[in-house]
Amino acid sequence: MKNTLLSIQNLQTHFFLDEGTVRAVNGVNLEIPLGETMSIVGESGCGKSVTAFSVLQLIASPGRIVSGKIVFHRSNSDDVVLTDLTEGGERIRAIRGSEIAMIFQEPMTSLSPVHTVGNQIMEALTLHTNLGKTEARLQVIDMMQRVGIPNPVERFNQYPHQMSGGLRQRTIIAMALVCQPKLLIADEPTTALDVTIQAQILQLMRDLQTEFEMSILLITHDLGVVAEMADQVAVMYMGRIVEQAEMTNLFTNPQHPYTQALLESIPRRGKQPKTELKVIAGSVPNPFEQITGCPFHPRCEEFSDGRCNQGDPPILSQLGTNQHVACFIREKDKIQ
Amino acid sequence: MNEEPLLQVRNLKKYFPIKQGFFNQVVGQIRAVDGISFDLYHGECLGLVGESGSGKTTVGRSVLRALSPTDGQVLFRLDDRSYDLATATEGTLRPLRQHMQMIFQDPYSSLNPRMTVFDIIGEPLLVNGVSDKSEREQRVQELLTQVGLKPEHMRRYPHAFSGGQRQRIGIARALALHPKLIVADEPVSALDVSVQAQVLNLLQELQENFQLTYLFIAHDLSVVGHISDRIAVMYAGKLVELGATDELFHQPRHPYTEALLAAVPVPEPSRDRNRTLLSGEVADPANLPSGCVFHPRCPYAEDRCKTEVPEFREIATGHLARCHLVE
Amino acid sequence: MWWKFRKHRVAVWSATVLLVLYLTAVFCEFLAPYSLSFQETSYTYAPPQRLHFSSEDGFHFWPFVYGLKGQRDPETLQKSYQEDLTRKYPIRLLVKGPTYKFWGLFKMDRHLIGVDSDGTLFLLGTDSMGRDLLSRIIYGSRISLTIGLLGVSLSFFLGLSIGAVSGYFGGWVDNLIQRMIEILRSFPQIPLWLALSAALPSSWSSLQIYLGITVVLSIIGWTGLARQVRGKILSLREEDFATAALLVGASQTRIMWHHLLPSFMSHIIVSLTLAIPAMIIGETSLSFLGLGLRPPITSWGVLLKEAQNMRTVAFYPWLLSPAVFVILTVLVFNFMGDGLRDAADPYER
Repeated sequence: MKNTLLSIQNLQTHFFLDEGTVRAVNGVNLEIPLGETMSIVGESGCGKSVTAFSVLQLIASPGRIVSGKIVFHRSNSDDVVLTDLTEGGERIRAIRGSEIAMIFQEPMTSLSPVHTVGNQIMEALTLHTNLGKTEARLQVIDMMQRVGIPNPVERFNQYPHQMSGGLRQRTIIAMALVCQPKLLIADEPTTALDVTIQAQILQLMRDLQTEFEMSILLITHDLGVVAEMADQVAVMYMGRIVEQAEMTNLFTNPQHPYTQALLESIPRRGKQPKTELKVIAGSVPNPFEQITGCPFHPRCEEFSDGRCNQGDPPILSQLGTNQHVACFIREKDKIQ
Repeated sequence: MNEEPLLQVRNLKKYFPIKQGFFNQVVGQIRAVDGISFDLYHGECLGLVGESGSGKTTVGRSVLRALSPTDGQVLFRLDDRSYDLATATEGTLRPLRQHMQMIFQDPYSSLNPRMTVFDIIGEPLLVNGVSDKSEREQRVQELLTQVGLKPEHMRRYPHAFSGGQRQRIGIARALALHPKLIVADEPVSALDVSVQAQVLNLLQELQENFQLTYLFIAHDLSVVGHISDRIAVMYAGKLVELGATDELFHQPRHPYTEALLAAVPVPEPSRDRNRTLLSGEVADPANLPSGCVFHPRCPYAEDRCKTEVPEFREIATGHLARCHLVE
Repeated sequence: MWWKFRKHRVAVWSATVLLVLYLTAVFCEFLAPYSLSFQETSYTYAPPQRLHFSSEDGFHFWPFVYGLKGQRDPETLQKSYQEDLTRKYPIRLLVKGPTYKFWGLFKMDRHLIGVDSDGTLFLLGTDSMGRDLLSRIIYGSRISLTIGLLGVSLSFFLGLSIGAVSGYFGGWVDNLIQRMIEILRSFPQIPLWLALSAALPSSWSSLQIYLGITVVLSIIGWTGLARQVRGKILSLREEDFATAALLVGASQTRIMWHHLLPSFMSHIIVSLTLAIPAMIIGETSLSFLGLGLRPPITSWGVLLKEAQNMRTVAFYPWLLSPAVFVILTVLVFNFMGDGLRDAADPYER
């Protein structure tokens, strides 16, 4: 039984808008193991980013964590229930940036244009430690070196606009990791980058993960990135996890109809070119809509009337070692 | 392919001046497109791949004369006559425009939010002499059906549609005048995976039904590889490799193509995560290296590469590359 | 956009107030208790009369004023007034008063409010010639409020066309126009206005002077709008839908009028709304300094000019009340403009 670093239990994060309530996260259970990468993958609107933001209490009005618990298991068997901490309070702020860090998609908007790169990285250090300025500066330069920023001493005094996209993202990673957090939450960290730079950054993240023995919660829509980075994968649809498995299992033996359809709709090099791609029927439902039964049933090829559109949505049940699926049909098959 | 190509691009260049100072003096050039040549044959799909700064979008816009090329020729073949789009006057261009259209990347900014779908798709018809409203309505309805939307939708405004549907509207607009050539500038990059598949399938279907020729510009190699017959790879304003899709993927001849193929993440769990990756930053088109533009990042670079610009040479039938080391 | 505007309470109230002000300007002859030139020489520099609702007979529903009794102090020769409690004049509606020409066309003598002819209704006092200030302010509103509109229309037309040309065509045309704008804008505004209006021949009729001042005010006014339009067009020009229109063969004129301009019409409307108060203040300032409109044309600025001395401020402060109206108008224009701007904010996605 691996050590769990973070457990999300029955999380419900809703957005209360004039037009109705959007249940962005509608009952998510997730465990992030120590030292491993858990990837949440899904299309836009599935709730993956909102889940990540909920961990650090970054949900702004009109959104709110309605129910559920997020427990951070610190190393010295001292658990912190993150959801209980006051939003904007001292305790959650002490955790943000030092024990749990987060990086975002857009490197340009994540950095302040009026402060030097070095100072921004240093801010993370000085907020959480008692280091003097000289000592802190040295550590920052060391960090910049580790993330692969060339000429760190010179670059310390540069401004974000003087750097390329890849270097900026490295700066952000440096900012996030300078206090050696146990968990790094990365929300689409490479989507805005060029392909060759993306590959570099992903490799960097993997290397640093090993070096710092860190867990990563990786949010992405790109299944290729998942294959590159993840140890564990959770597939989300309409605010719920529909399948969770060890990475290889997910790709070689996908169980949920949504996962299967998703994998078949991606163009791949190995496939016969110019063949028709598999298409998921219908379209993503209106976020205000409440669907009875399984949220995927209107689009599912294996839809079974009477079973799939009744009652509460299916919960994750174990199908094999390290594979869980939330599907009435699969459950039924398994029992038989 | 023995027939005459539909489009012949010869030594296309597009430079953007860098201006500074009170009088807007020109202090340098951004060499966005720096001497591109390729042929495009009837009915094929040529993929144009590159990262940011490669110039691929500029090529697309220059070919259609949305931008005026700085130099070079863009020879468009129509009814046994060849027209140089790069230097043609507005007068010559106007009647030619109906034969070549563009599909844009951003489904949100490519449709005028204040116009109804009917107005948007009908505009090409209106501007080209179809003044009868009912005739336009009929054609618009026809087009909407062809792209998989309902004819009633033409009364609505773009904001009522999803990203994928808006892309379809853009495609319908491009098809309105029965074009021969369509330049698709990152048509699926802004779409979700499942919607991407729908639009790609649609594009393929339309190509078969209407004998369209595509210049498919994208940064996603897998997408380009799926729909293209041939692929051209660009780096820092130059073409570095051009060849049939299969051949390019299995036997890349240029180190950059090789690096691209290695870098693209694929949903294959068995891939070696520790394979060699390309280092360094993407080249800055305002400040290009000497000799071969790729040499600072190339794992195989030799002395020669730093000083001499390699030629774009044919190495095997239909397969060209720009590298000193393939000869 | 109108729905969003309605949410902005202050803006909606301001719009209502503005509507009232402009209606006043339209119907000024009818609304003013006295006509423009009416004077009661026995009541010069009379302070505002108070409206009373109760007297020794108890509470009256209908307000009334007491008669005015004037006295002259034998030493300072200052005139002072007291209320004559013996004479009560209830406010009457649709009263017969001094004759006037409604809109310069129809001879009428009915006024909305007034008192019997032997009484006086000087709600804001009188000036040096015994003329009712409130009536003069109401008449003045017609000039002050419309000069802004006229000036802005001129600026609008100039600004829109020159800005559009500058932004769309770019290159040397743009450069030339922008440098011209910069030169114009670097002139200090008030001295320029002063110089130009001093250049207007004094032999011109009131109407000609009025139009002349309008032109003077818009000479610099159009540059602000032109720059905004240019900026918007520059950004919109590169939008994909504009390129798409180009590629299907639309002419540049069509692209400009049909695609680009409608996209920021709402911004222009907002700009205009905020430009009008500037014009109003411009006219008021010029007239206050004696270089704009002059009597017999009456505007708030002209009225303020008559209050331009220490004696007024010390002894007859009510003569400064036109300033309150100027302030009020400018404020409500700004609030309404703010509301419009918030409502017009593009929220298209």
